[in-house]
Amino acid sequence: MRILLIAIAWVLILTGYIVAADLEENFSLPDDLELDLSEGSEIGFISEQNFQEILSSESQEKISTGNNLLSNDNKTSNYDNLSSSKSLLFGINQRVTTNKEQSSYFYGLNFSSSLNSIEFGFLDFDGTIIKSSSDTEPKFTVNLLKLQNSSGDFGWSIGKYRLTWGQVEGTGVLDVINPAGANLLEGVDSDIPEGRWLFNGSLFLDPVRITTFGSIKLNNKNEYGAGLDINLDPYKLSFYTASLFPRNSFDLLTGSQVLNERYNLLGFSAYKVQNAFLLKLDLSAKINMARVGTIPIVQDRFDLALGLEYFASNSRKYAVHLSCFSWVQNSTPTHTDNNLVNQLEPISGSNYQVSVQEQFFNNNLSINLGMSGKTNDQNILLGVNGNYQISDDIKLLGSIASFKTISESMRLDFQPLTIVNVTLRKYF
Amino acid sequence: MNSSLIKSFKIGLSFIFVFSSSAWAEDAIKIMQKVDLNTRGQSNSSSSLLKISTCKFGIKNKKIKCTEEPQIKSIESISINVGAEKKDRKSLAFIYEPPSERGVGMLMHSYDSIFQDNETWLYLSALGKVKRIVSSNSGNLSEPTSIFGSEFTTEDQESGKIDSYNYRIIKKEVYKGVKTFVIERIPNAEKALRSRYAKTILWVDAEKFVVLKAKIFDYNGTEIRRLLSSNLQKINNIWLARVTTILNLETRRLSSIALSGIQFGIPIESNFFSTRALTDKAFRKRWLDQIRSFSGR
Repeated sequence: MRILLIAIAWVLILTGYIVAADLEENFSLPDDLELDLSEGSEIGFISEQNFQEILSSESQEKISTGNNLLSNDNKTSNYDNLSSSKSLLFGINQRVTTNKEQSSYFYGLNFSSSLNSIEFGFLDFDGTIIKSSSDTEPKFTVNLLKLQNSSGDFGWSIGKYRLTWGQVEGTGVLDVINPAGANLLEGVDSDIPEGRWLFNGSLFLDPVRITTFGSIKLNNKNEYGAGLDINLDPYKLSFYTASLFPRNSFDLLTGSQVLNERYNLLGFSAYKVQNAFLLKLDLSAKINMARVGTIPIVQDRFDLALGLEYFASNSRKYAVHLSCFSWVQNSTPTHTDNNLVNQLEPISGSNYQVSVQEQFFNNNLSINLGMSGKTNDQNILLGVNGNYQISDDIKLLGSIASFKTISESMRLDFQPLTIVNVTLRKYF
Repeated sequence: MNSSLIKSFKIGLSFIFVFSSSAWAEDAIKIMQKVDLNTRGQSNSSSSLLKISTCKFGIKNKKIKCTEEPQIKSIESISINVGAEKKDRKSLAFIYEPPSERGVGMLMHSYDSIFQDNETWLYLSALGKVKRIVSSNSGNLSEPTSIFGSEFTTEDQESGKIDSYNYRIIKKEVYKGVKTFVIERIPNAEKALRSRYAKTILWVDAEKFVVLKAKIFDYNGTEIRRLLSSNLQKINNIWLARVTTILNLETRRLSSIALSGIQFGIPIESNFFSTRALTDKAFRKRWLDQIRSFSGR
């Protein structure tokens, strides 16, 4: 089965190469050619208006002479707003397990806006209303509601937003505040994933940045932490410390089980650029983390992730992520029954993620194909996600994530699962 | 006697040839320094409004035309020259149109020294983080980073690095009614390790010192790109091309950068050009408002 899935994946990639190959044959351009982007085209369906705008004498007036000059074009008012947009979306979601098949379609409205107030700062909003065929009521989600302001070297923000730590995406080593999750499982019904209610302050002392954050919660499970970034390109070093609660009771990729109890984190991340390679490292010590078992025990866990990205070309990128964890017992469980301890997850483990990003059809189609799993068993998560830019304001997004259990000796009972998600989005 | 005379003549001829080659090489460097002065002048505390149009192209009746509706991106770019001799450049660019890409920002630091690689960062809104991307560190097996998905790359937009190339005037030629120097540019050994371009033939306007045309070759001697400039205009004592087009002969796509507006002497400081400008919108907006106010927008 695994071989079949890999074969399908590579067939998809090779199909793209064959299509692209047509464009890559040698092509010579005579010397005495004229660039003609403004006159009537006899080839295809050129949109002359756009190029005429660029080349016309009217646009010439947009530049005056002298020291102070700029366009008087009314269209420059469009440049005032960097992030106000809205989009309509329609999609289909299908979940297939061994026992049943569930299909649903959804439609919704995504709205993003930015407001600027001298008194209060800069407000960003992104929300989505989605009505699914499986729900009776439409679901409204605030993905982003962030008030941001700064004064001199100090900046702060408060609201619902994402705070991402670490360099190696898709691993839970340092990306623990609101984890992005594996690239293969990212949803496509929203450009901006749902954030968390946070506040943070940053002191920018180039090339150093000091950041602190705290969560906004009504219960007593508040989280807080601090980070220090030192930018010494081609290196970047970051140090983190925090008091946190685990996000998920079970981490699908690391296969570890933890209780929703407070733990302390010490972390370090770094990257280095070398030619066309980007080498990334995340390292963390998670102190006093409660590990699930019949009798929970509090232990320390060390996590390490290494990432290597190779930018082969503007249209192709390869990435390999390796991560591992190891539990270190620092207290004796209340019961020392060996059988109970044995029911815990392994004391150490490792997993991998391999992905290829490729762009086809003049960069209008972007495909991300990947595979991940644990190195010590035969679980496999195969995912493809991509988007196709139909026009300047219409985008088709799709993803297929398939989790397969191959090993008969799995200690955890997974149902093989395939999720297909297709969304058509129209921007305004 | 005759043999000695011929030998002396040959030596003299060789000397003249070597001397004249050397003089031409020196002239070529001086010409390219003037070109570079124009190029760097464009990024000296300037704010530009650009439109990048990209399409697949075809040729009919010796004319290059788009064969599909071009994709157009509206971009605001702010740049500053820094360093002891103002030969390094820091720039920030943001996409305003199309709506699907609105707000995407890119920070670039380009260095004159060949020993310092250019740096590029992108803000990934989905992850809420700034990502360092590899750029202009390409070799002959990989490409430099594309500018916002267009056919222009960071290497095409590079200024400075005059010492990274060897130059030679091939000839003087009238190109489209304009007197030009036709100059061959070949990267030195160090630059060759970081460039996909093995050789470039440049047509340089002999009076305005702007590159009007360039043919770019790979290490197999195949022309892979062609650059064409038009609509030259003198602004702030700098000659610049308002429309620059690059033709990618491998993909048969072209991208054309049209300068819609430019403002020199904007009040901007070097610390604006940091990753903070990508994430801290209030910080960025304050600077942009200041620039726009100065520009009368």
